[in-house]
Amino acid sequence: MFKRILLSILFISFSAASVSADSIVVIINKDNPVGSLKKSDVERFFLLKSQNWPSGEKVRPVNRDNKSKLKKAFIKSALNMSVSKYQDYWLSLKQTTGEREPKSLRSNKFVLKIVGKKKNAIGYLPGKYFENLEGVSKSKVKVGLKLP
Amino acid sequence: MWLSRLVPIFLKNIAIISFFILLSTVSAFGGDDEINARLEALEEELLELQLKQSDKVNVTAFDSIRLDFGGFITQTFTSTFNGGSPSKASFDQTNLEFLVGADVTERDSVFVAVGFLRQSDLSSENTATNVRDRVFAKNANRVPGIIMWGKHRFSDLLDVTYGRFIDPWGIINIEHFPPVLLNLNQPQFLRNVNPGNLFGSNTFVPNFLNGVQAHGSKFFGDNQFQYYGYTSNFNGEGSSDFISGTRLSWTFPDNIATLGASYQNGVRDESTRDHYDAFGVDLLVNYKNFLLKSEYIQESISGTSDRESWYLQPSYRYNKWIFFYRYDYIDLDTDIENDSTEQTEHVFGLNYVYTPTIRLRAEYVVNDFELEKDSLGQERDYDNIQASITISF
Repeated sequence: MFKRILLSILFISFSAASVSADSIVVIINKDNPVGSLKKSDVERFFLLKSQNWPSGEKVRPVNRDNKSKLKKAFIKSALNMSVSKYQDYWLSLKQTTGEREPKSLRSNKFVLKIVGKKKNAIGYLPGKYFENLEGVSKSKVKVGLKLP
Repeated sequence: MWLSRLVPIFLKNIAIISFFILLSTVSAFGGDDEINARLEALEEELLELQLKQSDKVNVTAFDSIRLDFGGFITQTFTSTFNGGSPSKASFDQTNLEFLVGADVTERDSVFVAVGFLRQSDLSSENTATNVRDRVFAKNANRVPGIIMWGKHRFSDLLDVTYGRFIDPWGIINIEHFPPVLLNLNQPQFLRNVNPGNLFGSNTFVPNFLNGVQAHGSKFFGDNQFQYYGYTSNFNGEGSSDFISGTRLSWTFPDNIATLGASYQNGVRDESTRDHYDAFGVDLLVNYKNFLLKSEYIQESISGTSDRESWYLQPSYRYNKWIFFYRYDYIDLDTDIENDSTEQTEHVFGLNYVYTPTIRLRAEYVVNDFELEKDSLGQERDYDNIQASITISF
């Protein structure tokens, strides 16, 4: 019994450690002429403070859905906001300018697919998920920024 | 007739059945976690779509590439009292607004906010001789076209808005809408000094403008510079005289602080042809759960005395609770000290953000006049309690 409890604790600790150690990668289309991004660029694009790539093309950010832990981690680390401030920000923008939060997608696969298809898109994925990816989908995107 | 109704239902059912047959077939061959995960995601999307789609109506945009529809409803309850005078109370404001936003092209968008108000203004029974006994005016229906603009976006550096838009003055006027305001009553300089018309012209600067506006922003490192320049009529109702103005702001890294300055001049009243100049500065500090807003405005109107106003509003958020205080001073005649136009408002407020779209507010307002007695020798000071709820969708 004691052994089982100890194993459970070890397992939970290991799982928690592996999640918290996971970084976030911001991905862009491989044909996007932009080589790398700064954290402040990512913040501007996802808050629609800046809506154009240097080429003049409109930026198309894609989010994960509100239920995902990844989105919450992204809001905190990339946008320097609490979730409540983030929600207030979009509520305010919606009411005053009609701007809407970037489209939310329900899976990492969809994010990868959209960014791979659209030259002007930008999205984010868990670092580990991206590392373990193989095949055509991964070859259509590149990492613009790695967030701790 | 019955056949035309039956065919789409039949086709829809066939599509759903086919999907689930495909799902089970792939699962049977499965074992591949990736395929299963993807199918699960697809199934979820499909179910979500089914839930969102009404049985009878499909809503589609006519010609736009994106169409959003939303709005909010607000109900307030206000009670006013002072010393021995009897309290008056009323469910004084019901406000429903519909918002529609559409992207017509990648660069062109439109935004419309239409309000339906049921309102009973709080005012003195007789402003000249008796300010102590206040009354709620008879309820009136109002349907103001609050915002209706089109915008063309050239780049981050320049977008052009035309139509009726929010006056880009200071901080709170730009935020403007109840779902995001801590306090439904805006600072005194943005409210009508004499109530009677919610969106009227008796404010220091108009809340909304009818005209054309240029706006843009540029990043210098992690600092953001923004500008607005516009020309419009004062309140857009029958005026053939124009005003113009500008706003410049600088936001420091991580949005920790924004410093702004606004200037506006023109003719504010067609009949008297009063010319005015208004100048204002503002500061927004946003640090963790602490938020500070402050604005100062000074205005000169030809033929009358200068006027000025300022407020300071610190707030602190703890989970779903927001505590705030506002010190709000107004003086409509800076030439005379301690006159009837000098007033300080202290607002002690509390917000409960039940969900991001449902906000409850309670506030206690102390109205403190510099000239303490009216011409009948009665106390001018009074207090308000207001409770309100806003649900946005």
